[in-house]
Amino acid sequence: MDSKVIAAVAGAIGLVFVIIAFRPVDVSNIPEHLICSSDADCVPEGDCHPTSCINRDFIVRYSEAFCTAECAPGTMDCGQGSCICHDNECVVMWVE
Amino acid sequence: MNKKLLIILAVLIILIPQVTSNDLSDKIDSEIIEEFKTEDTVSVIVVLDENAGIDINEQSVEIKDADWKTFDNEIEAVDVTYEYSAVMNGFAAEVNEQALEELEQDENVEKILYDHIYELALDTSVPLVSADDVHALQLNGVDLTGAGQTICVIDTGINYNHADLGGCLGDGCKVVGGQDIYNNDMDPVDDHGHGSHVAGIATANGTITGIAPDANLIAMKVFGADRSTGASQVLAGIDWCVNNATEFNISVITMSLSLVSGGSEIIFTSSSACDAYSDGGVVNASNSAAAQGLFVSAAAGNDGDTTGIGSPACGSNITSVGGVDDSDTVYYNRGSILDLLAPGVTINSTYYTNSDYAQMSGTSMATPHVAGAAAILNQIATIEGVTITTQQIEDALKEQGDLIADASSGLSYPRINILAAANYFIYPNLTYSENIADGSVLEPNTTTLTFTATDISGINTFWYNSIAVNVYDAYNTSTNWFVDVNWTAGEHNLTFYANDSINNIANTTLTLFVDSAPTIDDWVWNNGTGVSTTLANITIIENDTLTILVNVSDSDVYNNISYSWLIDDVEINTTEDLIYTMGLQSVGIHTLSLNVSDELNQSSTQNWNLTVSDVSAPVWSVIPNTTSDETDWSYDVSTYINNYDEDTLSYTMSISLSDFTISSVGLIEGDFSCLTSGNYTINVTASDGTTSVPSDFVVAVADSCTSGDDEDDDDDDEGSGGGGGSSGGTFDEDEEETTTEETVEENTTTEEEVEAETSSEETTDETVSTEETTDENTSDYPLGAFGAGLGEFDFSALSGNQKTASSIVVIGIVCAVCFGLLNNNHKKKGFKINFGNFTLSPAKKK
Repeated sequence: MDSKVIAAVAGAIGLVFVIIAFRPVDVSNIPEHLICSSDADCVPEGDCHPTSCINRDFIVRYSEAFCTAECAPGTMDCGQGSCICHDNECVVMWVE
Repeated sequence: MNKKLLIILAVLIILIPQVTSNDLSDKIDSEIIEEFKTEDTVSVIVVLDENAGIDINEQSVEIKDADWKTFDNEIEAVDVTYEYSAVMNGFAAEVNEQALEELEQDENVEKILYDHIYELALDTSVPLVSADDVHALQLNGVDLTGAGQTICVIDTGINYNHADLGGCLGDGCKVVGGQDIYNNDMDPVDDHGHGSHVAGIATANGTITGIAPDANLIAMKVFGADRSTGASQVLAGIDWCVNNATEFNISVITMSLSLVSGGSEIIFTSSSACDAYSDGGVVNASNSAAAQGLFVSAAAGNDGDTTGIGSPACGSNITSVGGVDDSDTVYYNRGSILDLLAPGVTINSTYYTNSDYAQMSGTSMATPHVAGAAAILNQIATIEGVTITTQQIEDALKEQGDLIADASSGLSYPRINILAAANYFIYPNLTYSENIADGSVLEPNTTTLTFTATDISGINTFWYNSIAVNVYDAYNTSTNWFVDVNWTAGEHNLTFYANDSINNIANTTLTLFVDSAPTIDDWVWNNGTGVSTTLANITIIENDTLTILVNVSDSDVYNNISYSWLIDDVEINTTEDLIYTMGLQSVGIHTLSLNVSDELNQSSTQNWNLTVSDVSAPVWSVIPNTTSDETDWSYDVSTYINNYDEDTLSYTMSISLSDFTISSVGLIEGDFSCLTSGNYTINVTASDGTTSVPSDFVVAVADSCTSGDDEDDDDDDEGSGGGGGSSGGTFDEDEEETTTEETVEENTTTEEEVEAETSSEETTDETVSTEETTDENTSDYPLGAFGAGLGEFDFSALSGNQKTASSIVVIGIVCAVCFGLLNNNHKKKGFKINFGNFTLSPAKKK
């Protein structure tokens, strides 16, 4: 195959890659209180035995509460899960 | 019938059952066969073909094949207990042997499994802390199970209807009272399970057995089903327990809870910071309860911090409890202020539904282990009729616990050992003074043995067995007992006793050995030429033989004597008498030692000053004169010394010139260049440490400065060279002056040249700088700095176009890598960039 054609194809692939990689992503379908840009944005929702995460800016106030000290299944107790920012949404990363 | 056919048929009849029985026996777990040896019925789990079905009747079952047709295969004596359809197709049943055989033969039955009994986890944690051993003890005829003690459980309530938790609420019940503070009513029934689980660990008494199975409970329900509550509710629970402590005999409060903010536990590394923290008053209330005599245990928290624990466990009067698993691996929060460890992983205990049990993990589960232990220790104190403090309980659990090392925090913590703590409370603690350890070897003098005895109820009496030594005095203070003994040589086994107010007796046994060291009575050296005993100085010449005869005695029973002769702490002989030849290089003063010891290592030492004198002095042969004009001149004079007795020699030198040296081995070094021509005398001295002997030689120097010109060289040729010996040679003064002037001129010239060179270097630097600029403009390398290689890369030296091109290449490589990463199944994607309402990020994977 002609070298120019090869170069053109390679250039086109690279261009497609750039477009795909850097196209803007619409976050309008993510609830506002879950939108994030980094893991540091996300914190557990609620005090005791949390099961979900939220953007820290949406915590009205950091309350304190007394919680029972068991490792409740399905919660982030005892390192069973942690909050991360995945695709601009605060989610729980569960430990297998 | 054909004879051969009959034989074949007979063989088959014999073999087939063996084959089929082997095949069929593969269906049945061996434990079932084994159990039928002693039991009439066995619990089994029958695994059916996935398409088979069953009809369950009373005490029988019909198994149907995939077509759901039955072929008169009703099996009697099968008492089905469970039917399974979701996780497997089958059923559990109690069967007899006949039913087992019929099940075995049914083609729809794939396997028949033994219904294993799984140990309830509380049955593991109770033995781990030796609570079951304590339950087997009695004190004054009373079982040590926590009877008479009440534990206040501040939690989600207690399922008092559970059979293991008494089955009722109120007088005569295990749960003697309580309150629902959370819902503001009088029924503290558990609506979650956490509180019932905690209560069961501490006091269950039924299918499972808790730490203090005969202790009572108070249910303080301060949590709802969401297990979150405020300080006011917890405070109310603590307050109620303290107010009603006397009425209900409450001696322990247990709190399996922790202060949390934003989903994370608040961690404290010091009790003072914890006490000062504004938590709504819970820590202060807990400290107050402990100060009023209630033992307060609290959970350390579960976040896995290795430097601190949660609140209120961190309070200064509160006993904090961390968690371990069955192999004593430490989990959850810990740090320097953690008090105790207890089992807290996969603990099975009572639940909020009647007759049910659940497994839970966390320091919530560890804490009631300690609460139960405290109840038992309080029971012991009550039986002995003494009052103990909460600090004494905590100290006993700490000091008698099994130390568990935790690599993550770098610290060790005591995991409770309730039996050890109970014994510590029950029996006097009797110890002897540390300077007389068991197995000690003592001199046959008077020795005072000191004993210390303590007990929570006080020490009543201290005594010892009769011993065959002269005990000439014994006396005591309130805690120490002293026994003065005048020992005789030999082995002595002694037992000492103490008892408390209710005659619990402790004893300790000592085995002591009394022995005196052997003595060096006198000695003679070198056939009597040396005087014995009082003379500590021995003189001898080098290379001579030293002979010492000694008299050593040991009159007691331990008299197997060993000998060790040393010179300057180096052992040279291990026989009784010394016969030793001194070496040629031993001139000087040494320390000669003899150490004698018996089999119990009692020893004596005698030292002597050993003076070794020299045999002969070194002698010089003639050192030849020499010539030199060298910069790096050297001359080894050691080849001209005769050292007959091989002593270590040292050398010194004197010369009228500076910068000449002589080494320790006689090598002279110096610089004869650019010196005035003539003869230079060098005096040398060799010494063996005893005698110093001098010598000398001459070095003749011609005028031979290395930076001189031909004219100077001609002048040198006209002069006369140096002669041999110290008095030889001629010396031309005029010539010397001329030479000196020329030398000055040369030096001057040299300085100018240096300045010129400096100027030249500067010019060179400018040239280099210019050249670099030229390179930048002319682009000598194909791709700018890239072509020069990494070692020469200088981004700042690139042109604008070159920088842009290089940047695009680098970004392109980074993008390619990112694209590769984007296609991996990582949960975290690449970088993101926020632009107002839009966010640039790698596309969501579909």
